[in-house]
Amino acid sequence: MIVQQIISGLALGCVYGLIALGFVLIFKATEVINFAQGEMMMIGAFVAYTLIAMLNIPFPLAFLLTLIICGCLGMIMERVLIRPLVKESVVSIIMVTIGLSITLRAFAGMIWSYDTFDFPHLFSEEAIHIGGVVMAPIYIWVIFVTVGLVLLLYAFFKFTTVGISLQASAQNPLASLLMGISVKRVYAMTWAISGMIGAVAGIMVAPISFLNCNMGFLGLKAFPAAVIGGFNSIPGAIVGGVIIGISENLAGIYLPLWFKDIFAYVIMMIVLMIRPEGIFGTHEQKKV
Amino acid sequence: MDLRESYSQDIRIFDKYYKWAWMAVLVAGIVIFSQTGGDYVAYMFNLILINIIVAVGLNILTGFTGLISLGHAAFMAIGAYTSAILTMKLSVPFWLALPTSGILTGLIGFVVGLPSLRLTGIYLALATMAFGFVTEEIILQWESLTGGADGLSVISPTIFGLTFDSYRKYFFITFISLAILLFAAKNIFRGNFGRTLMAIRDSETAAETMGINLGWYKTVSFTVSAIYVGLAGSLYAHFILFISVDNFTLLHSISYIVMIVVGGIGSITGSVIGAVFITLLPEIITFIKDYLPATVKIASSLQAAVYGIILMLFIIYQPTGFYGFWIRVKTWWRTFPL
Repeated sequence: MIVQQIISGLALGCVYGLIALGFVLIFKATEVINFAQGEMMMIGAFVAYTLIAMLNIPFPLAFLLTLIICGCLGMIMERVLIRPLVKESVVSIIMVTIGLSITLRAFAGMIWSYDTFDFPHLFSEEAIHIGGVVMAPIYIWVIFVTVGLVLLLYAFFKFTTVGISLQASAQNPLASLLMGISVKRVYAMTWAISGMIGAVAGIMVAPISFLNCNMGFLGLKAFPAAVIGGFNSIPGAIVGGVIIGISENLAGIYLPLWFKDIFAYVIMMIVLMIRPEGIFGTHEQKKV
Repeated sequence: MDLRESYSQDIRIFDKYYKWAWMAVLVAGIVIFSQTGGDYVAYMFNLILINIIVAVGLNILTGFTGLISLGHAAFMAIGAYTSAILTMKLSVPFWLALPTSGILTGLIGFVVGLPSLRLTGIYLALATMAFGFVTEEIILQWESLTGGADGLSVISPTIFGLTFDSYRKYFFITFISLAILLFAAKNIFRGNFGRTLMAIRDSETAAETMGINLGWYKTVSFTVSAIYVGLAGSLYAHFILFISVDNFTLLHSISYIVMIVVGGIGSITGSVIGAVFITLLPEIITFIKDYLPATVKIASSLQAAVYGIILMLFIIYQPTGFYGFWIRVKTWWRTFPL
């Protein structure tokens, strides 16, 4: 029973981690927090649904198309909303992304209506038995995809020129500008990548939970994940997500059931009191 | 001309004395219109006045101190539930329950504000958001006290034998409360305390160097803001006569932020304009709906879309809100040929 809960918590945690990854990437590069990441996930899921179920495009192609569409969407959002506010305070940028999340949710409601859809099952639904633990294959896929994505991102940041220039412009925009890196393009790229991660998260979540305009609210659960792991750490996002997922499931067993819904926020508040920079995060001293 | 020659002139509530006369005309107009305009008009007036109190409260925190809060609906919920429980379960008279709920909300605001010294920007936004969720869940689960998901009925207040049982009569309670609170807010920012908060907003480091105790002032700013919102919550409970957690969600917290952004961050007048505009927005949308294309018109999410777009447009193109726009227009005319 407990092992079962821990493993399903692991899969759920990976989903939170995937969404949190989107926040962390953008925060790392631009020190901006995107409250609309959950909505990016929702859009990704809906685009994939439209392509697969309505237009009958085979899954691999549909997946690729979804990534491209969401990447472009991320880039557009950066260009239209975030770039005019480069020198503005954190408060205004938070508010603009909140506005974005409301707008995206409303438009999704106009386009796809407020009904709940059945996302087509991409993998067999037959449960897998591993040593007494029963699991749906999708959960195992989620874990695999998350691990794969983190390895991919790690390699991207470590070994490719684009990845390294991304890191450089996060650390010191001015210096990297002088070294010939187009910081603007890097910022746009970050948003594109985070949009794609959102799309992957959406495609993973939709078969597990539900496909609905309001699924973006799941993104709010990813904030505790990002805070616990540290807002500027990529592995931290996944670890934070897993911690949230597992502890939430365990709280469902050992504590009153209603506690499950707010447990993530309770953990987040405690972490914020004790160590606001999170487990893997580093504290940066601001210059006057 | 408009030169200010002394400090006392600079901190006047109105820069010209004749503006007091305009104020009196405005007050008379509001009172007459609310009393003669029918039930719906009186209802809208009450709602607008209560929202103004919330907007002013939030502006004290966000506009004047520079701290963001995504949990102000929770403060409002605490105020509303305190007042409702005091009057319904403990038979405390309204005139006592109203300030009590303000004070209690203020105390909770003090506690919530304590970590604001360490948490800035996004972290504070997230902490207050979590506070909102936790408060909502506590209200839902503490059924014996709050009625849980069923909500709580509230009775119309009675003061000195007078029962304020219609929107029109209740208007006087909200109006007098608002007048007192607005006057207080104006005065806060004429004095030392308000100027300290603004110094913190403009540069924390500089303020600290000048010897300002950041932790204390930020916490007190949270407290004052919570008192305003708690009072608004109490007024709201006795006005709407039925409260449940659905009235105090994250989306409500966000709509308060929209109010101060649209009106003008860091301005009392701006809070008033923003609250009036956002409260009337559903009416405005209903009015212009007929001129919109059919696919957009029927969408139930039209209002949410308008909210979101307005918020984004104002932040990007008019970050000082309607009030800032008004100031710009005024200066442009004054210096016209230039």
